[in-house]
Amino acid sequence: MMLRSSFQPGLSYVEVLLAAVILSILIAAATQLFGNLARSQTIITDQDGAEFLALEMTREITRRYYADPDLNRVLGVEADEIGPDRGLWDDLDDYHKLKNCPPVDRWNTPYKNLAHLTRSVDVQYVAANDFTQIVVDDQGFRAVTITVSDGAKILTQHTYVIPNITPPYYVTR
Amino acid sequence: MFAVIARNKKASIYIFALAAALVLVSLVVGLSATIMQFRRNSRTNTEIDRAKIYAELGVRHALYFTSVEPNWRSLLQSGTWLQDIPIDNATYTVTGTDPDDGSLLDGDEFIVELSCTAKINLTQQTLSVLTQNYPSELLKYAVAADGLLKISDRVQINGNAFTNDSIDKKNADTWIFGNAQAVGIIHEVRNITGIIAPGSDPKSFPDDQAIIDFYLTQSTPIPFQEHIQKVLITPNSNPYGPTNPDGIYSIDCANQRIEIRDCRIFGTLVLINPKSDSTIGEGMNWQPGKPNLPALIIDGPIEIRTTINLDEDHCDTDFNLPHEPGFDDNNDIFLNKITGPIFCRGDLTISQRSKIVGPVIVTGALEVKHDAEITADSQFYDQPPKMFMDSRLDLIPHTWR
Repeated sequence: MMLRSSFQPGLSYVEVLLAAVILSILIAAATQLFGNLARSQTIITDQDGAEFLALEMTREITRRYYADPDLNRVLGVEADEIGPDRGLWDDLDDYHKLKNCPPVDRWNTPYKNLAHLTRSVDVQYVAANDFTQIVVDDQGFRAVTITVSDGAKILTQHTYVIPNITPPYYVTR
Repeated sequence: MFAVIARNKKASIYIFALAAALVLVSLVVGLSATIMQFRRNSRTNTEIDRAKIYAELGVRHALYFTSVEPNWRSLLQSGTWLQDIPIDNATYTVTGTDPDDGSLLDGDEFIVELSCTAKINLTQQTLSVLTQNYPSELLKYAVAADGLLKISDRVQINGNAFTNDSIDKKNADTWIFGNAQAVGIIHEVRNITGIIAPGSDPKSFPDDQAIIDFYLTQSTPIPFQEHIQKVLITPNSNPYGPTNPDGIYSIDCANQRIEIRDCRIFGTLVLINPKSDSTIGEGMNWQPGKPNLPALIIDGPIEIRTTINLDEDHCDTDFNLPHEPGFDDNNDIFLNKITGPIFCRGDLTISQRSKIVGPVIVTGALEVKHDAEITADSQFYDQPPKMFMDSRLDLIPHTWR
């Protein structure tokens, strides 16, 4: 009878402790992993938002004239194009040095959830035979660089080279 | 027996712990994989969108080439035009082909299919579009010169004036009822009713050699005459030889002086190599034999200096066509007027009381003086003469794919 009681079925303290340690480690690791996943999801959301903002601006700019169609043109936004939004902007250099934080669409409506991002545009002449070469004179090509950043961190940067087709080639005749 | 039961119960806690670990790990791995897949899809979609934009810009690049290189049809072959052009982290390749016969050399009126493939990393997008040459924009102008445009005295330009050089306008009684555009300067800007635009972008002119070659090929030669006067020239009437069904006649002047005066021309004249003191003058009533033909093609310098209406009685000639009232008598007077596009490879002077309706397009210098009057007419853009096309390609709407 005594012998039987020394083999009492059930869990020893050591066994319970071991199991508890294993589970604790697992839960801690999982918590950290989920935290990381949540953080990376935020980064991904920002990244996707940045790509969206860059593409949206690209589509807007590539529909504009290479140079202002008015004969009395100036570099930058012409006097008759100044307004509450970008609705009157009609050529590429109107966008030069544009910087928005929060980013806004053509009609000045801010993008919700992306208000912490900054979108900027740079327009330069590039050499006809080397699009990486910035030049001062017009050789028929303008490089448009769109940058979306979160503070000092650049999330995405797109560069497109737009040739001088005037009037815009997409106009239906 | 009890020991076995106890061992089984001991093992169950490990199995539970392991199972929990497995479930947790699977959950984390699954979630990570889902997020990564989502991320990959998102990146791929962005790359697809960007590749489409690069492909479209590649097509524009090819269009641009045709706009700055008038001889692109002879310089480029059907096939690859631009190979692996790098921009940012993308490249694009553009091909140009004639979908009909594969040859780009058979004329401006033939369609060219442009196709651009853009690549970003492993993503690739191809866009194609049909393109063609459109009528020269200069057909909308009253006067267009590649060289200096001089306007003086009491000249009246009814329409827009353009030059790839400068406009030298003299005397206050000289009018431009339209825009004045010059790549260079515009001297004297009074009496210009439209936009005054010095420093304008240059414009390409129609291919002069192609125009001259084409209309020479279509013409019936007239042997050189020093004086062509008091005659009626039409598709059915040629006092100097056989007729041409379109009324296109050519004269090779071989650098001799030619004078054309007091004529009614219902056709197209192609004058080759006239001496610089050659003239078209006195009474002239002139229009093309068909609506989509030019009135006059000149390869060389000449002066148009008409002064009076064409008077049958004064010329003692019946200028009426057989179906017109007044045929068979000499009682009619025809207006001093040249209707239809005039194209000159060389310098052209228009003076006296010349009245021209239609674009005057000159590859050299153009001087308009005295009481001359030139009026633009948009019908010549709507029904352009053959070969008066822009050398550049432009899109045919709704053909993107």
